[in-house]
Amino acid sequence: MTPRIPVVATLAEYRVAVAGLPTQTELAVDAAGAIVVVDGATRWWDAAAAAVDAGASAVLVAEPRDVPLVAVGDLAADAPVPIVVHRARLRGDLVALAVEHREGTPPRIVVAECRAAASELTATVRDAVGWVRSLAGVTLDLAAASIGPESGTALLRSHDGTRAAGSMILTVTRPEAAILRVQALGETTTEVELDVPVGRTELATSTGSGRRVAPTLFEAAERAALRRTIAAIAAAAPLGALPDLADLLHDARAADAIMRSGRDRASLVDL
Amino acid sequence: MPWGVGIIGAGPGVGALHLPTLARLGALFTVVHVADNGGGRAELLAAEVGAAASHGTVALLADASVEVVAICSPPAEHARQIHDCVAAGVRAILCEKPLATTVEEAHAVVDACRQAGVLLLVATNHFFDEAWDRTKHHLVALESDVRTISATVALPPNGRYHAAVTELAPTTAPPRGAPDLSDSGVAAAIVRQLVLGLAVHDLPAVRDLAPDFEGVDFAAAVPPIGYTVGFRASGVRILLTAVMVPDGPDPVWRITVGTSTDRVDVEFPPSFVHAGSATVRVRDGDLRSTTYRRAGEDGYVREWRALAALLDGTATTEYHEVLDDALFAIGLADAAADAIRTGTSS
Repeated sequence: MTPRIPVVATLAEYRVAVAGLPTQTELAVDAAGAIVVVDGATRWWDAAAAAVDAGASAVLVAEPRDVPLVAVGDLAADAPVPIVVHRARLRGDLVALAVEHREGTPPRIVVAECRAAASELTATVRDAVGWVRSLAGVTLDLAAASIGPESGTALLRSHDGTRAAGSMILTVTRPEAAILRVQALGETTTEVELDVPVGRTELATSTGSGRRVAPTLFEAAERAALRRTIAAIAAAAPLGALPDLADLLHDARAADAIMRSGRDRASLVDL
Repeated sequence: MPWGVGIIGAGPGVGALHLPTLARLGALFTVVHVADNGGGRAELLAAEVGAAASHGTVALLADASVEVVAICSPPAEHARQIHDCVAAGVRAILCEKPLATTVEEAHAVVDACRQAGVLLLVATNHFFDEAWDRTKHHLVALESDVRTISATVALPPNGRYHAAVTELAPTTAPPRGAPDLSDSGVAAAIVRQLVLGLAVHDLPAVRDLAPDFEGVDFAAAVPPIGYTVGFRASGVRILLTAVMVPDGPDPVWRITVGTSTDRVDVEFPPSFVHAGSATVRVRDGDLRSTTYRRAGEDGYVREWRALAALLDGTATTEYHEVLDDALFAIGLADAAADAIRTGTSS
C-alpha cells in the first residue's frame, strides 16, 4: 500500500477534504514532509514560508484575501516546493473546463461584472482578472480605470499592447448580492456565473451549433485543490513550473492597479 | 382609416423590420410609398405591399397619400430628410436612430419639427420594449440605488434572422474588409459610428436612469468591429461593449442594471425576428431570482403604436426628450472618439 501523504490542516473544509481522499492522505500535525494548508485570511505568506522552512512537501494556500506583492513575490522566487493557490471564484477545474470548451477559439473581448461587498471587492476583481487572463489567453495590463465609492469600470489590455482584452464593471453591493459573471464574446461565447451566496455556478459555451452547459462540479473545491496539490508533488515538476503564485501575482497587480485608479477615488463603503 | 406611410430607405431594416411590423398593425398604418436611393430595391418591397415606389425623396414627399414618413436611410442623411419632410408638410415622422449625427443637426431638426408642429418619434425600439417599462417599474418601486449599467452585445450576421421573417433580394454589395483598428483615427471613427448606430439602441434606456452625461473614462475599438466604452452619467458608472462577428452563436444583447441589492438583466431577442419583448430577470438581495413574463409585442411594434398615439392625440411629442436623447448619444460618441484619438479620458 502506498504511504498516505500527511496533510496539516486546521480549516474544517480541508479536514473534510482529507477525509474524502482516504487512500491518498491522512491528517498530520508535523509540517515536515506534509502538505500544509494555510489560511488565506491570515498572513498566509508568512505561514507558507514557515511551512517551507519546517520541511513541508507542498503548501496549499486557501483563498488568499490579501496579496502583498513584494512578500508574495519573494515567496514565489524562493519556495523550493510546490505552492498551490486555491481561489474559490477561480477554481482550477472550472477554468480548465471553460478553456477546453472553447476549443482554441480566442474571444474578441471578455467582459467581467463584479458585484461584491466593499471588503471583498478587491479579491473579487482579482479573480475576475484571472478569468479574463485565462479566457483571453494573454497576460494583462491595466489601460484605464475609474473607481468611485459605489462602483467602477476598467479596461485591460494585452501585455503586448496590441488590443483591448477585457473590460470590467464593479458594483459595491450588500454581501448577499455578490455575484461574479464573466462573458467571453466572439465566434465562441463563454459565460460563467458564480453566485456564491446562492451556491450556484454555471458555465455555458455557445457556438453557431448551440449552447453547451458544463456538468455541475459536485466535488468540493477544497478536495479538488488538495488533489491538485498531490498531483503537483507527484509530477516533481521543475520549481516555477506551477503557475499558481505567478498567476496570483499577475492578477493581484492588475486588481491593485484598478482599485487604486480613478479620478474620484474614495473609500469604498461597506453596506 | 389607417395612416398612409411613406418609407425612405429600402434596406434590410425596412424589408425585415418595418414592413413585417406594419403588417401587424394594418388597422393603424398602411404603406403607400417606398423610396430608395436608386438601388432598385424599393420597387421590390413596394410590390410586396401594393405601394408606389420611387427614387430619391421628391416623389414620395409629393405623394398626397403619404401622411407619415419613416426615415430608414443611412444616419448621415437623417437630418436633411427630416428638414425635407417638414418642408413638405408631412404630419408625422418616425426616424430610425440616430436622429442626427451632430449636435447642430439635432438642435436644428427638433426645432424645425417643433415649430412646424410635425410629430416626431425616434425608433429606439429597446426603450419602447415593454420589458424596459417593467425594469423601470421594478427599480422605481423598490427605490433602487442604481450604481452601474452595462450593455453587452455580440452579434453574428443578420442574414439568418432576415431569413426567418422575410425573403430579401440577394445583396450585391461586396463584403467589406476589416478596418485597420490599429490606426487611432480609424478606430475613433469606427467607434463613433458604432455608438451612434448600435449603442444608440440602449442609450435612451441608460439616460432614463442616468440622465446627465459626465464623461468617458475609456474607449477602445474591438476587432473585427466593435467597441468597449466606460463612462459616467449622473454618478452611475456605465460599460458598453459590443462586437460583431462573422459567425457565431445566437446574439447576446443584454442590459444589466446593478444596485446594492439587485441585479436586473434585460435580454433582448435578436432584432428582426419579432419574437416578442425582452426578458427581464432579477436576482434580488433576498437571494431570489425572478423572471418576468414576456410580452407578445416587441419594441418595434410598440414604437409604431406610440406614433399612432401621437397621431390620434392621446400622447404628445416630447421634443425636449427627443433632443436630449440625441444629444446624450452624440456627446458620448464624440467623447469616446476623442478618448481613442488622444489616448485620454474626458
